[in-house]
Amino acid sequence: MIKTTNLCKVFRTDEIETTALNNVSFEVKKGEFVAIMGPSGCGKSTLLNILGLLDNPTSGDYFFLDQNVSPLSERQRAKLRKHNIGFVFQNFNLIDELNVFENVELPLLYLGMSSKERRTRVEKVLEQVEIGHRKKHFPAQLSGGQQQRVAVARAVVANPSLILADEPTGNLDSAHGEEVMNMLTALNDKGTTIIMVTHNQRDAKYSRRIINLFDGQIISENR
Amino acid sequence: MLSPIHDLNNETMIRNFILVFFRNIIKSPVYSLINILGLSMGLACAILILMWVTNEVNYDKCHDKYDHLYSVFEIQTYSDGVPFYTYCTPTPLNQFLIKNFPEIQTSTRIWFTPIVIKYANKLIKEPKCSFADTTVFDVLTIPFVKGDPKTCLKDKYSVIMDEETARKYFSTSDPIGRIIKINNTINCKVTGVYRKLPDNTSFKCTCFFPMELAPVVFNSINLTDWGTNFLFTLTLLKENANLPTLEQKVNIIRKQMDPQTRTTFHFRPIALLRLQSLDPGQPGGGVVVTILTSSAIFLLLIACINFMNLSTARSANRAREVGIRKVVGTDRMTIAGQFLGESLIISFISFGFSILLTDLFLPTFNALSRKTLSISDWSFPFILGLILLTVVVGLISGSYPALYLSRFRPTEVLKGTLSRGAKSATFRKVMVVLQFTLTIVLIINTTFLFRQLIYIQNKELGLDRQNELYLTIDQRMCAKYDLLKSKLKEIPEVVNVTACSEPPVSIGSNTSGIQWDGLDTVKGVLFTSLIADEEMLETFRLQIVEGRNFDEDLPTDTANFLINETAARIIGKKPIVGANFGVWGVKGKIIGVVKDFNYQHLQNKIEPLFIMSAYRQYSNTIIIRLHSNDMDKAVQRVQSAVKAVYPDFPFEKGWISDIFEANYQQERQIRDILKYFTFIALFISCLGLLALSAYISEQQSKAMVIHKVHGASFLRILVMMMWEFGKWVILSACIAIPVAYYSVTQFFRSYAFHTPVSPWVFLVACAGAILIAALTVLYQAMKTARRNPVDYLKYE
Repeated sequence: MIKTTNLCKVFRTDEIETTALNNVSFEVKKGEFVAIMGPSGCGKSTLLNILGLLDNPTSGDYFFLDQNVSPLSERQRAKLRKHNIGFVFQNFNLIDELNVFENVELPLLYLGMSSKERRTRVEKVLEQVEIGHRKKHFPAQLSGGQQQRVAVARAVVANPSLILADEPTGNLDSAHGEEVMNMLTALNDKGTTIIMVTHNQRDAKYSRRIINLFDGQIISENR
Repeated sequence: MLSPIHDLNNETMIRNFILVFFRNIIKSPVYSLINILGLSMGLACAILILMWVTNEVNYDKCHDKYDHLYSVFEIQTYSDGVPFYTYCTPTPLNQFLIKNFPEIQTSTRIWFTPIVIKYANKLIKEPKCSFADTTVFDVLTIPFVKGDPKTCLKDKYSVIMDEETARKYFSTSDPIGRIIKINNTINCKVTGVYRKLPDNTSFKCTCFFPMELAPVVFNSINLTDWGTNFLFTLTLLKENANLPTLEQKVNIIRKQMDPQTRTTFHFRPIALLRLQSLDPGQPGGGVVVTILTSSAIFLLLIACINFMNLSTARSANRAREVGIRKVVGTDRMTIAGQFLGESLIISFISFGFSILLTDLFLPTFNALSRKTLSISDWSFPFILGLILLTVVVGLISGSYPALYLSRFRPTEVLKGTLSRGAKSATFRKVMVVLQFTLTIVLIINTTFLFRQLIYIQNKELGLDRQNELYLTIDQRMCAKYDLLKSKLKEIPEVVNVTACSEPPVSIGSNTSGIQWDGLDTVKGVLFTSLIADEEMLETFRLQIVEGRNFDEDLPTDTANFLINETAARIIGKKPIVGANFGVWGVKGKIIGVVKDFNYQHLQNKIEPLFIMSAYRQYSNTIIIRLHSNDMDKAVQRVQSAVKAVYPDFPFEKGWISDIFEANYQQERQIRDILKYFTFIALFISCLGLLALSAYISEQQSKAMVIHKVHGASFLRILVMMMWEFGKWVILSACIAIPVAYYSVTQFFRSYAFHTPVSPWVFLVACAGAILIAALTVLYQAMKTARRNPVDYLKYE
């Protein structure tokens, strides 16, 4: 599903050049649950952003669904992203002005679905993450765990083939963190490919493969 | 596959955008209010000015043949080489043009003058009546209600009136056929009624009399004398008329008729009558249009800048939303469209409020501008124009925020690594500088206008204009002037009584028909003329610097002259007293030189002036200097004396000081309107600065707390915070000074006399603006400086 070949990402300012990723090559098959681990600043989030088509590599190739996406324009990436990729972030990133239902509905608005179909899908997903009873509430009225459940619901509502999770339990206590990891595991069981960035060993154990990054390079892989 | 354009057009997406927009408004009511208030005020001011400009620009467009109407003007040249421009044309010119030039379809003469009308027990002086040829209805569009325009002025003793005037005299009765008496001498029959002309026409009057009647009413008028220049000639040219060729032909034939003539005739479109001065060296009404339009644009720009500044400063509040929208698959164009759409919505909400504000401010604006503008006069094109303006304001205000916000990268905003507002800091600084530069330029210009009016009030004009009552009389009343004067002198409050052709604070008459020994009569000189009795100098406290005043006991003085110092310099004779001097067939001597005094608008330098003493035939004004603690009582006594001598004269009085003030009505108008605009500009700028300082103070809290932890005092932090904004306002002042200097000096170019352009005025205006800006941010600065580091660090 995903293949990277000698992926490099260099951040340049007037005075400093930082190599965040240095010839990263790896593959992820459909249905895999992969954790990317490493210390702070090793390039985990940079790699995730590239995998999520939110950023372009400086060099190297990135094949997503057998298509080389490195040369794609922003518009083309957005189109590919909205149909295929869901995101879960450490700090939830819900829109404060929208309630739970509207936040989860957001990806479907960009897919041109009818109002009826959107409602059906959103309500189904909200039930799945057990937050349906708070659908009219706003993010400020929810706990951290509840917000993350809404974020997970938003990530899956469009039935993406890939979910990218960037430290999904980073802002949660252990109980809520476990809840979220169980949700991700359940999704993976149903066939969704998951790539998760974490520095939490306990969370990494939910995955089937761990890629270790250090200073922008893959140093080891564990299964 | 769906395109972003489709997204944007998608009804559901738009509903989502609107939902988020309104929830954001509710979430930040203060900032939303500041944005809407600023834009509303800017738009309201722009709307008022647009209404005013539309009224001015549409002057005379009520006449159907507007595009082919031309006024005739003269250029007179004299020995000093300075051309003199005037719309006053000779009485025979009209017939001369019609008879000799087929390019001219038709032409009319018009002359405006007050007339006293008597009917039954009503005796009223109509301030603006006109005498016109019968062709006036072929040239101008006068909508008739009763009567036939083809025949109504055929008879010399006829008159037509507007509806309001007819109602004044005849109530609801039919005016046609009624007989009125004019100037207590002549009966005229009402032969027509027309609808009241709109305010924005140069030819508005309450009555029309036939031109043939003018010499009967005023026996000094000669309708066949090329030397009598006082009326307006309005021509209707044919479609194919070639203007330069026509002018050339007219002047060639005139030169053949009178080889000595110093006058050339020219045609000027009626469209230029109101907005452009005839004299290229003088400002016309267009200057006022330019000044006020510029001020309105400044205000709108200031309001737009506020919007841009606040939107970009608070961009971090929308950053997450932008990031998520990009993550779930929208692109930059759609997001830019969303924010542009929000800006347009705010602009239209502000437009709604601005209409309310316009309605609220309109009575004050009408009082300042002396117009009767009304929202009900808005035409469909005007409303469309306002909508377009609202769209432009929305697009301008929202352009940069849309571009800026849509540029946010999800990789930065969603990780929380985006520095709040940092990237737009340079833009905000530029905008604050621009905003305050515009405001300070307005402040400086308004200050100088105030100073100019104070200068005008206080300037030593060389004559005293206080406590002087004036009555406008007609020549018939001149015969009883001596009787009136003696009765007035019996009143204890009356100090002086004099009769003049015009009040010496506003003399408009001039002539080139003067002679003295050695004068080149071919080239000639233009002199201002005044006719007055021997008490005029004393009444106005004018000084004689050489020779003597008129002596009423010397009959020869009726053929002698006084001149001013400028005239004496031009004549150049030594001694000047006793030199021969003549005008209009009267030959005499110069008996005295009067110290120069300002008898016209201070835009004009002092021109040569002569005074002659034929007041018993040619006076139009009686001026009475009063001295009393109870002026009302004094005026009543004067009225009784006047009534005793002129029982059929409507006692309509005025004050000489009011005539003087009326000369500067335009300056006062601009000053008063600019005063409000400047205040509003300052208010909007400070409002924006207040909101911005609150936001920036919040962003800078961390930095200031760290300074405090490391030992910075309260005062030091206060100064740091104040300097953060103060330096940009100081920069604005530095930019504003040369810009304002240019605009002030350009404005004063048209004044022969003006207040000095002193540097300290610039400095005080700038210091004032800086102080106001400092006070605006002081509260926020003190709040930040006082912040307890422990509270902040705990929060973090």
